[in-house]
Formats: sequence, C-alpha cells, structure tokens
Amino acid sequence: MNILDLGSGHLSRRGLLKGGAIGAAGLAGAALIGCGSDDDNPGATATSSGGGGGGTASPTPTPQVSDIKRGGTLLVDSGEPNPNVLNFGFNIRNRPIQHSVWEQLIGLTEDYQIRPVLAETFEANADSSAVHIVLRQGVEFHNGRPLTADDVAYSIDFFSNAESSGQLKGPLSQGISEVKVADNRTLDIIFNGPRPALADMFCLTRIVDRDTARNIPDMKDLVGTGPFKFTSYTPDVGYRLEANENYWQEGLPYLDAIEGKPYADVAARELAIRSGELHWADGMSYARVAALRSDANVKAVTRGKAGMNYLGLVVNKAPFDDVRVRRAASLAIDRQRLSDEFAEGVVAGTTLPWPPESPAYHADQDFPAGVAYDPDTAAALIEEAGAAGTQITIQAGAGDQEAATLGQYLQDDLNAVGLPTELVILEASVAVEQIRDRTVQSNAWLAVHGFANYAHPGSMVNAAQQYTVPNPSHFEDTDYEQLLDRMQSAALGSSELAEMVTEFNQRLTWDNAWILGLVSSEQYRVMHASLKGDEGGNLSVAKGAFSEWWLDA
Amino acid sequence: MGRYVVRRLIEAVPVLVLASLLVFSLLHFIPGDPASALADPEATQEEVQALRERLGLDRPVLVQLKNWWLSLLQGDLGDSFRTGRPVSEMIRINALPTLELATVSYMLTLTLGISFGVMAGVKVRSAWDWGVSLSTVVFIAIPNFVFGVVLLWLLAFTFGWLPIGGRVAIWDDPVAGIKTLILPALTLGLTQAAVLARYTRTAVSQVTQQQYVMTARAKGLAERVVVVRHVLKNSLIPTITLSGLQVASILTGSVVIERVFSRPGLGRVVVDSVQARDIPTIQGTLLVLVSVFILVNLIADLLYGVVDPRIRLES
Repeated sequence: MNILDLGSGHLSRRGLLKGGAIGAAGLAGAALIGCGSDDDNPGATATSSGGGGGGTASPTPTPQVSDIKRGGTLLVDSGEPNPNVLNFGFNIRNRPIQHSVWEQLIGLTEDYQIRPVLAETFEANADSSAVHIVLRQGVEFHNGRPLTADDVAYSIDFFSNAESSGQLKGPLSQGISEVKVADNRTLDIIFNGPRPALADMFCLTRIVDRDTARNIPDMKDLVGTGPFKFTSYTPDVGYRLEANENYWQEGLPYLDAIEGKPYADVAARELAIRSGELHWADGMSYARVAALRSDANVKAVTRGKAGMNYLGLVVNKAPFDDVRVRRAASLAIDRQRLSDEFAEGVVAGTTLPWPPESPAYHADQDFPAGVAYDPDTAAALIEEAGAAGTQITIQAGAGDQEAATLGQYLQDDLNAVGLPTELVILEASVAVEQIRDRTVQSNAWLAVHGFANYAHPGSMVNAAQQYTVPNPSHFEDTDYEQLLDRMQSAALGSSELAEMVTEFNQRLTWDNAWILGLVSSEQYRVMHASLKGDEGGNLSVAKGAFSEWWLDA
Repeated sequence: MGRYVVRRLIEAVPVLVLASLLVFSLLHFIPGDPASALADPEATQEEVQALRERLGLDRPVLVQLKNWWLSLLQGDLGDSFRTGRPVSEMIRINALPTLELATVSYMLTLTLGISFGVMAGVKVRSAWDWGVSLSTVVFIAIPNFVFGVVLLWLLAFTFGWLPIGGRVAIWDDPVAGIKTLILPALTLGLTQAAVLARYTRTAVSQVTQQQYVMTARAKGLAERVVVVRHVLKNSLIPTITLSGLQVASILTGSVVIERVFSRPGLGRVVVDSVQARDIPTIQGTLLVLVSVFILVNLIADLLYGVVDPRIRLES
C-alpha cells in the first residue's frame, strides 16, 4: 500500500518531504521521522527513542497576531470529493475535508520532528517495538463526545480492514500485535518486532469517531476532532465546513467557514482564482501554473518535489528483458527537454524517487549527474543487444492528459535511438487496473509516483508497488528483495541504511533500471493574494490544516 | 386528440425500455471496471474487490440488469456509486438548475431566433438580412464552450459585471440568481437562436413569394398584418419541428455549459458520472432526459395540428 498524501501543502521549500502527489496511476512514497516536543504546544511532550532523530521542533513562521483578521469564508476547489476513498485514500480531491475534519495522533514539524496533535505523549521504546500514548485532555469530537483511547483503538482497527483501509494498511494490520487500552487517555501499542518507521503510520492515521465512521462514504455525517466541522455536501454543488467552536487549540481556527466549490472547467477556475471569486485551488497543471505566475493577484506555491513521473518497463518482455536496452532507454530520454517543454520549466528532470531534502537523495545519482542524456551511447547499447528496430509500446491512462503528452516526447526520444515506439492510451481505470494487477499489456507504462511524508526510506520502498516484489515490471531479484527487508528494519540515520539507500538508487537508476524517472511531480497550489497564513505551509500534518489561514479582505 | 396522446405515451414505453437497455449495455461492455475507476489508484486488489462487492458489481450482468429494472418499477433508481446518494435525490437536486437554464435559454432561442429570422426573411437581400446571416454564421461556427469562456473573460473577469461561476437559486436571491444565469443562458441560447433564425429566415422568404401573400399585399393589407397573419403562420411548421429538436440540443449543450460556468445540473451530473463510471446515476439521468425528449417531441407534434389544420384532420 502506498502513501500519497500527508502533507498536501507544505508550501515552503523547507516543507521537505511532505508528499501527496497523485497522478493518473500514482503510486506512493516515503521519508523521515523524528521526535521531540512542539514549542507551539507548551506542556505537550512527544518523544521517540526508536525511529531516529531527536531534538526540538523548529518554529514554523508565524504571522503577527495583530495582522490576523478573523472571520470570512474560504472558497476552495480541489475537485469533487470522492466519498469512496474519503475514509482511507488520501485523494487530492478530499484533502480540504480530510485535513479540516480529522486529525492524527502526531504530525511532523518542518524539520521532521514529531509534533503532538491529539497525543500529548507519544513515546516509543528503545527498539521501536512498542509505543506509549497519552491523549491530550479535553479533546471532543464534533458531536460533543470526548476523545478516548478506545477511539484510537477503533481507528487503528478501522483503518486495518479491507473495506476502509489506510495508506499504511499493511504495516497497521500486519505490524501491530496488540493494542492495550489502560484508561480513557492512555494506551500502549505493541508491534510484532522493531518498527523504526512506526511514526509514519501514526502521522497518516486519522482518528475517527467510532459511532459514525462507517457512514463516511455517505458524506452526510463526517465527525472528527479537527478545526472545522462538516455541515453539508451536495454532489456537484459543493460542501461546507464551519469553524469548530470547541476546538482544542485555543483561538483557532481564524476562518468562520470553508466552502468547497468544484469548478469543472480549468479556464473558469483560473479566472475565478484571479478575480478572487475562489481563494485556493489544488491540482493545477504546469501550463496553468506557468501562466498564473505572472498575475500579481495570484500566488502559485509548491512545497517542492512531491513525486516523480516515471516510465515503468516490463522486464519479462523483449526488448526490456535485456538490461542493456533498459539502460539505453534511460540514456535516450532527454529529461532537460521534458523539463523545459513538457513541464514549461516548472519542474526539473529527475531519476530518483526522493526529494532533495530526503536522506535517501544523492545528487550524484540523480539526473543529470547520475544518468545523463546520451543518445549515442543509447543507440550503441541497443545495437549491441540486437534490439534495434524492436517495436515498443508505451501505455498511459486516458484520464491523464499530461501523461499522453509526456508519452509523445518519449516516442520521439526512443524512435531516435532505434526503438520504434507506439503510444497507447487506455481507458483510465483499465490502465490503473493493469498496473495494480501486474498485467501491463505493453512493454512500458507511464504514471506518476507521489511521495508522502514518510520519515523512513524503508517505508516507501516497501509501500510503493513499483518498488516492492512482486511489482508491475515483473522485476525479481533475491538480493534486491533482501535489500528491501533490510531497509525496512534499519535504524534511521544509521550508516547501514545510508549504504542500503545508495545501493537501492544504483539498482533503480542503472544496475537493474526497471523504473525510469523522467521529471519531478510537484503539487502546486494556487491562491488569491487575499489568502494569508499559508507561509509556513499549513496543509500538512505539521500544522492544523486551514486552521491558521485567514482572509485579508 | 386524447387518444392520440395516450397512444403516443404508450409507444414511448418500449422506447424507454430500449434506451435503458442500450445505456446499460454500453456501460457494462465498454472496457474498464467501475470499482477501479472509483477506488484510489493505489488501492490494493483486495480493496477494489471490497468496493466491487459493496457496489454490487460482483454479480452477473444480467442479475444487475434484472435488479435495476425491478427497482425501477418500484420507483427506485438506486444509489450513486460516486456520491453514495440516491440517484433520485441527485436528479431532484440537479433537475431544477438545468430546467432553469434550459427554460431561459429556450426562451432566448425562440424570441431571438424567430424574430430575427422573420425580419431577415421578409426583407431578403437587405442590409438587415446580410447582417443577420453574417452574425448567425459566426454564432454557429464558434463552439459554445469557446463562446462561453470568451463571455466569462469579458463580462465576468474583465468588467466584473457578472460572477464567474456557480448558481444561486432565484427564489433565494433574485438578483444574484439572475446574475448567475445570464452568461450560461446567453451562451446556450444565442447559438441555438442563430440556427433557428436561419431556418426561419429561409421558411419566411419562401412563403413571402407565395401567391396568397402577393394577393394579401395587393388587397392593401398592412405589412404587419401580412407578415403576422399570412406569412408567419404558414412558415411555422419547419420552425416548430426545429424548435422541438432544439430542446434536445439545449439539454445536450447544457452538459458543456454547466461545466464551463460551474453550475450544478443534470448535464454536469452525466459528465461527472461518466468519468467516474457511476452506472446507476448515468442510467437514471439518461432515462429522465430521454423521457423529457419524448415528451417535448410529443408536444411539438401536437403543435403541428394547432398551426396546420390539415395535419390535425389527417391524424
């Protein structure tokens, strides 16, 4: 299972690994944990002796209180919500609701320290095989019921079953051996072994109200502890969230309400943002971002690399059953051109599934230092492998216009080195299904892999299905499988993990080359200039989503 | 007349059954799995299967068809895969905005199309005729979604006279309601009015050359009387035929226009449901739209008889 969201909106570059991109067939990713206390919440402590990292949270840029204007209704658009995945998937369209209605036990600070949210204490034992949690006092659900340890136990169970699930369903359902509720505020969670990445799953697991959680897909009764209460949803019209007057963080939220207004037409959406009729929009294309950057009334922000557009190669079919041809394909791709033309200069070429801030990222293994554009060597390798003239078919989902465009650039590059390439556009769900079921009919497929705010590199490589074994590429290697296992259990910050990550990168980009990174994927949010308070990047686990935003109008 | 109407309504039943069967078949036999389309892309096979079971998609297609028809007979259109709401509720919520838009657009179509067409047809080859012909060609040639975006940019964004998107119910706030209706209704109505104007112009110009019109003029009747009493009535048959068909054009046009102007409505529901493979909603909504179309055509057929006694007598 993959992680897609967490952090959908740390808007500063310092937002580090906050993730959340999801593409047409997006698969997910990884990062880093830490521990510590949060200066914003005096009295709260959160410690972890397991997962690595330590220290105190760095302060998030906070606006002057005198500047803040209270009240108003924030108008947002991230598309029509999808109730079918509201309770588990971190679908881009559900973010404003998910981040406003529900909260997690812990979040992460800007520098990846654990930040207590609903947990007052979050303390892992020495080998990260158990965690002791004390809940914050006085937290109530929107229906007035107090938050208890039983709700946490229920949420863990809820997100572990097949129907609701969670992005870390695997670790949640397989890794936890016992949940001991001591009293209303205290519980211990015991794992069946060391879990260096245990904080990851709690950063992603929202605490739901046990009386209403099953009704979430009906979109009528969404109850959490977050800064905004769900009040209504009308399909194809929008939804409304109102400020939670009993919110546990005193003085928050600043806004009176949030209204979701799905603009179906991109041109209308852009005009609405520019005119201030809409304050915030998610999921803008690179072309629109490039166009909007020139408008003084609009801020286009990103928290940096949040994913990677990639070309997956099916290695049990000719010609990609020969690693020389896979390497040749990678060398044949002009990633600089993809960045300049396809992405309009908004994002950069890349071959690594890690953002630069990740401990797993090594610039010397990424484009251009790692795998440069070298069509001559590519052609020679193809000739040497006897694959010149072999027909390649790349498939992409019909719902992803950008993938179709990207595919045309790849066609051009691969044709030029002697691999005649055809681009096949499949019905979107068919494309996704073939990747999920590992039944890709073509030689290769195009998709986007979104990272999340994982703290531990082992989490991502063991979660995103293009890296796990089995995978849609049918790449299998015993040593590689063992590497994945070892990465998962290696302590964060250890030299062993650093070596393993380097080996993983080397295998991915050159030695085995089954997933070819193309260009970064970044989650741009565009917002009207009147929207303030987003400077620290609040739509993430690090901060209460939208709760610290206000309208300067 | 009553028997005619009853007969036509009975004839509509097999049409509806066939239409529903066609829609059902198309939706079930095109490639792709609705559960996969609805689930998150990174969902596991088990999660997709759980969703499939929850939505009843794991049952044989014929069983699904039988269940749907049985529910339909009980007035139950099922629940939307996409929103979890009853389809009848979604239709109820969205029918009014579409009806509102379609009615205003249709009134614009009839008013502008017939009046400009008659004026051009009565004064063939005049400057007025050339002007109407040229402008109708322009309106027909420009796709309505492009026209809509241009209007948005000009009247809503640049001048700020009108809102860019959304809908306010007229009974909640009449001024705001009308403001949100102007641009989509203009976009939809002007394109259809251009088509109607051209047909009307041709029909009127042909009738004005008939001997009975010349006779009327020779009798010294005022031009207004000649046009209204003799020309207009006799040139209305093709206009009525076309204007009946234009109801369907407006309803299908609303699919695009509701998206451009971010208005709720049946057209938007259909498109969003198709994208999400929301089978119950597509089936239910199309069934309603087909029923409306059958009804409008029946009304058009009845109007023939009102306008032309020969048709009434023959039927």
